[in-house]
Amino acid sequence: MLLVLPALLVLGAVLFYPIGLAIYSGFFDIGMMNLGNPRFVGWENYRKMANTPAFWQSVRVTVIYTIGVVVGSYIVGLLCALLLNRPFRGRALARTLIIIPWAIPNVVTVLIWNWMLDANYGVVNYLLQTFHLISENLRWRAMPDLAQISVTGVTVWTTYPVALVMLLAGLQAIPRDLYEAASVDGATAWQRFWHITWPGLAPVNIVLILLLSLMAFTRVVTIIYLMTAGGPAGATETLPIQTYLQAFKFFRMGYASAVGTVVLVIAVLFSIVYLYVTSRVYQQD
Amino acid sequence: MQSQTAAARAFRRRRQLDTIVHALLVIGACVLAVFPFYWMLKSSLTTESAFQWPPEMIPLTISFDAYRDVVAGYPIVRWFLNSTFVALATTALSVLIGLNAALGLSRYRTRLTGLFGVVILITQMLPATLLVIPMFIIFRNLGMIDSLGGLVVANLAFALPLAIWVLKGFFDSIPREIEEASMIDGSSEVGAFYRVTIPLTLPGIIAVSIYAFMVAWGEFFFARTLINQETNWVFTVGLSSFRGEHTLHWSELLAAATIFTIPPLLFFAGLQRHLISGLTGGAVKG
Repeated sequence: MLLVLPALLVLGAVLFYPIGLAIYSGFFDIGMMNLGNPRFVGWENYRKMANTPAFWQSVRVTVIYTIGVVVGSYIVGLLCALLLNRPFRGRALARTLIIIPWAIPNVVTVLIWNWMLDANYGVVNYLLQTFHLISENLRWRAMPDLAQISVTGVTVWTTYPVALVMLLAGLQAIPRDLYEAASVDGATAWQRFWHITWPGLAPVNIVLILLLSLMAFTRVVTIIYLMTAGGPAGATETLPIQTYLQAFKFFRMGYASAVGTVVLVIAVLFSIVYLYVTSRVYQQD
Repeated sequence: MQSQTAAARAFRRRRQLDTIVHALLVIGACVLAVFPFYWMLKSSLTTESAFQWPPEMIPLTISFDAYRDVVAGYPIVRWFLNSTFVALATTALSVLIGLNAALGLSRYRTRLTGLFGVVILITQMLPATLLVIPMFIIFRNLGMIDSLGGLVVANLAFALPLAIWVLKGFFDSIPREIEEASMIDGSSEVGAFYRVTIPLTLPGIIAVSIYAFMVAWGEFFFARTLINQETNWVFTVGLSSFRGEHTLHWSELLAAATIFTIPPLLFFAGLQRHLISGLTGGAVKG
């Protein structure tokens, strides 16, 4: 037990105590002026939240963004994993290149994409015009719809390697002879995918989809914050972004803690329900 | 006979076509994945043509002016050193504390073991922007704002739990008998751990080190909130500060971004095999 003690002390100091303090702070009015002397307000922050349209707007943005990121990363990751799941020359190199976005720090990712999506000189506008997909330059980060698409797309660019790596490991765990047997029986590629690959990926899918959801829902904040800071007009203001802006832009630390606590509670409840449902489904198979 | 060879030829041709299509798709995927990185490099090396329309896809001339200017004009070196210190210290502490904890959890199974699984899951659900609020309040009360050491401690909140979990997985896969054999040969229990078990978990240690390094190197919100003074900034905060300026020098900005990306990229390129096996091990087994 002596071995675990240092870890417990550190986690107590940087995780358990702060989480407790954060949840506790949600019941106080804390601003920059009265940091040392917070005022207890009970459920007032939560009541205010429920009556604020900006909060519900943020809930909607968060749900759309999370679904977009999970679906996008999963599809891109699966397509790439299927491409890489057969021997060919240069496979190791191809895999390294395809997961490179993973190694690039989020702050840099945002800088690159801000530049590529620049309204006047961005290469994305240029390429889209070259292929006649758009007729004039788009202001990617300034229009609400386009900003949502942009932040979702850039997030997918950083998260699909996680999906790829896990799915590739899952694909390689599926026994080869199943495919050979199916080929002998004259199964089409689609049938092989649907009856062998897809069920074979089930254990990976369960973990991966939860992981991606939690990442998009609570963790990927840097990308949105540095691309749009939640704008324009709150179009990309997910709940974690709202938490940060309330705390450090408007200095409503108590209210921000309450918003953040709601995120945490939703994430915990979602995970419990999700794991419960998937374990039931999984056991039936 | 004749028709059979025709069928065989058709089959072979189909396979060839299949291989070509597959190769093209792989190349396409590689290009799409790498293009943004290429574009950063290209834009940082073509100072004059940054605001050129249409942009040139392949630069005809390159220059390192942007790199020279950005190093001269901003405390880039300082930020780089600060980031290096924070990332290395976070990595060292995560591995050191994580190793001991993982060993303890793996070898002496108690109720704590299950609890740790829950803790790992919770850290995955915890919004960094929520955690940063109490951190800020605590750091202010302790007078630890602007301390790089404080930032290291804060970074452990996300780096340590995962380190423990991944390392525990590695220890679980090493049979106890190996330690017991070593103990019969005369080493103490602790001695057996350090001389036999820990060297066997080297792949796990490498995986955790890269992971912790990358997390700490790229961390933004703690650094942004807990550090005020420009000389104590880490690179992420420094890079994001360029945004607020009136004239955007994209080439310089991207030159700085390139410098900042080199360390994690090198680590990643050299050691990705370990990282991948470390992170997928649990998922595929479970």
